[in-house]
Amino acid sequence: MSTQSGTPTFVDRYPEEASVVRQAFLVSFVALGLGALFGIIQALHRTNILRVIDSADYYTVLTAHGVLLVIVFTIFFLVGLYQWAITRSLNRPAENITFTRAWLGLMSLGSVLTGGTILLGFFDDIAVSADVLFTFYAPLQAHPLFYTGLAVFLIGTWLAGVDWFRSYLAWRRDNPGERIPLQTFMVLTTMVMWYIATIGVAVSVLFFLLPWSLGLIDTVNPLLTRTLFWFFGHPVVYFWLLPAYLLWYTVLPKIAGGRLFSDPLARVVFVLFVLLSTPVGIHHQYLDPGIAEGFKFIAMTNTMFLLLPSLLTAFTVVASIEHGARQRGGTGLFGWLKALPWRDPAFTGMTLAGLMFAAGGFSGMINAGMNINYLVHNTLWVPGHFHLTVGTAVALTMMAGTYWLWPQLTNRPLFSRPIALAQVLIWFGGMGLMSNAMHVSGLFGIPRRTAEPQYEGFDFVTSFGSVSELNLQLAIGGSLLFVSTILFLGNLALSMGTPTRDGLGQTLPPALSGPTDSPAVLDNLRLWTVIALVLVVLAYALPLGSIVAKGGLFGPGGSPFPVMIEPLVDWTDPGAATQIVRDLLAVVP
Amino acid sequence: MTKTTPFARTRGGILVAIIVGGVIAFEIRTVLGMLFGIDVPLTPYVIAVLVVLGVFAFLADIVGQLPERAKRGE
Repeated sequence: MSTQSGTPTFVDRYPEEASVVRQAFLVSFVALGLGALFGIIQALHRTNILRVIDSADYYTVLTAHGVLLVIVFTIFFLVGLYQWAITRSLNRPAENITFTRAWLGLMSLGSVLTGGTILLGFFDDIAVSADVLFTFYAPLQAHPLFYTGLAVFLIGTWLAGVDWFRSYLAWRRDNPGERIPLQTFMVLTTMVMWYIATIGVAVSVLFFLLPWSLGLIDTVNPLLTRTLFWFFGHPVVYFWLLPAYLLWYTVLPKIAGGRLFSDPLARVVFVLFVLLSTPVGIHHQYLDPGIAEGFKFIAMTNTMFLLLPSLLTAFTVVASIEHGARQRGGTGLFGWLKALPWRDPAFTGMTLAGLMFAAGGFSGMINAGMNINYLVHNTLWVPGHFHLTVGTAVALTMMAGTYWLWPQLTNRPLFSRPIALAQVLIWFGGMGLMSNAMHVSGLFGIPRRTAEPQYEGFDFVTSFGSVSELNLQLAIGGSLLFVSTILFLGNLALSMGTPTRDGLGQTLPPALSGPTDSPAVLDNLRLWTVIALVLVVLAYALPLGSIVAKGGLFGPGGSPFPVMIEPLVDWTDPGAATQIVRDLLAVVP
Repeated sequence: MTKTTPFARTRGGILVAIIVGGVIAFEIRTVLGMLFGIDVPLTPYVIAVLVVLGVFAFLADIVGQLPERAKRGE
């Protein structure tokens, strides 16, 4: 990895912001370590290789694994990375560093409340638990502290967005007429998407789940809370993914020795995510009775459109890498691959993460297809899929990005580059094994989310190999991932003790095709926000209306059989509307 | 980052190629089993893959060193 002597590092220029980024990363990595520990426990437990917990505690472990990794690890990394990106790209410090520390503090408080409530589930003597999994919709109910923590965490993320918009607006006042710097554009579009997406989970938590867990209301409509969760639950995967995209677009080309191929294409991709991330959530509910098939079909169609930004990204990032390789002397149709800096763990980690994201995209298309989804729904296939996407494309990119970013946040070189290279390779190999076993197991019908997948007296049909072989493969893969996590955390911990030195500063080169090559309308965030909201209303107004009309705002829920077109008519019935008003009045004190 | 050498000598990403090749080879067994119904026994298959990848790595390393050796006149 090249360094430019004399270039100041981020911590040299913005010490207070660098401190915030480091703190966010540290919370993120503590969650990563805990989440990985719970991951290996459940991988060995459900495969019956090693059992250190009772099966009754399995859901506590599973909830902790999910929440710590996909809420705390990913989102704390995101806020750290985005704070770095917006400060660096706008070339100005935070408007009010106390405010910046405040939202980070709120997020931390929320994480402690939610995480602590989950972990208290291990203690039978304490009547506090939250074994509701990451997908925390009804009918599973958690302790009120769980939902309170989530609400506080969410508010923290909203304030982070406010902070970054303030920085942008201040920059805009000083730079009228200039195009938004690319990294800032990525930060702002991500947050627009986040504000829209979190409407669903905020309504679900504040109006239904929290009052229900506090005993203020007796029942909720499970289908409504599920739908509101998935309103948020699908776009949140892009909230995890877009920081990885930011690194792929703006850092990876530099490490490869080149420049981003196209700034306009990158902007188009992020705009597409703003538009298409949210009106797709119902594709997680293909097997839910109570949602008409037509609405599911619309969600499927919208989901397939999301392939477009992913394919654009594949093209742009690979083109940027190829440009870098050719700058390094690479030649030939594929010979340029040999000129890439494969010994650099930051480069290799991000590239392998991108490679596995392609595989995750393919299995995602299976999930998104209405008919073929029935084959894999709620089987181990689904965790196999998202361990490729969030578990590798996102997590491995974040770890690899840390190898590049950490020296600039601390002025300390990485403790060991060879260990870092080994770490990313072990992760890739381990995930190859574990995810393969999960996908195949899913095709055999082996369920997810159970401590005892081998039900008594039931044999899964296998077309090749055996279930025990798949279990062994899953356990070996999971163990390799755990080892990889330990190597990452150990390397980083030891890096905190390396002596500081100069020459670690990095700059990011401009794109080959810059922002002026794209129409200015791409930077019109108001326009994209309005269109995104219209799409959300189109996708969700009728389904939500029919769910409430059929099952009541506060329950007890819809009929347990598939519905077709009937709800389209029913929910416009004045009688149903009257009932909704009555339900609302009934809970008002 | 430190300037120490990698934990294993690699040339042109041979190490990365081995890992990626290993994963793809493993997936091929899945494809053979699930799409074509060809049940390939695990142990001999994995051993064969390791041998093939090992030979590939050895040869790739030798071939990759040829230009350097030629420069040195060896």
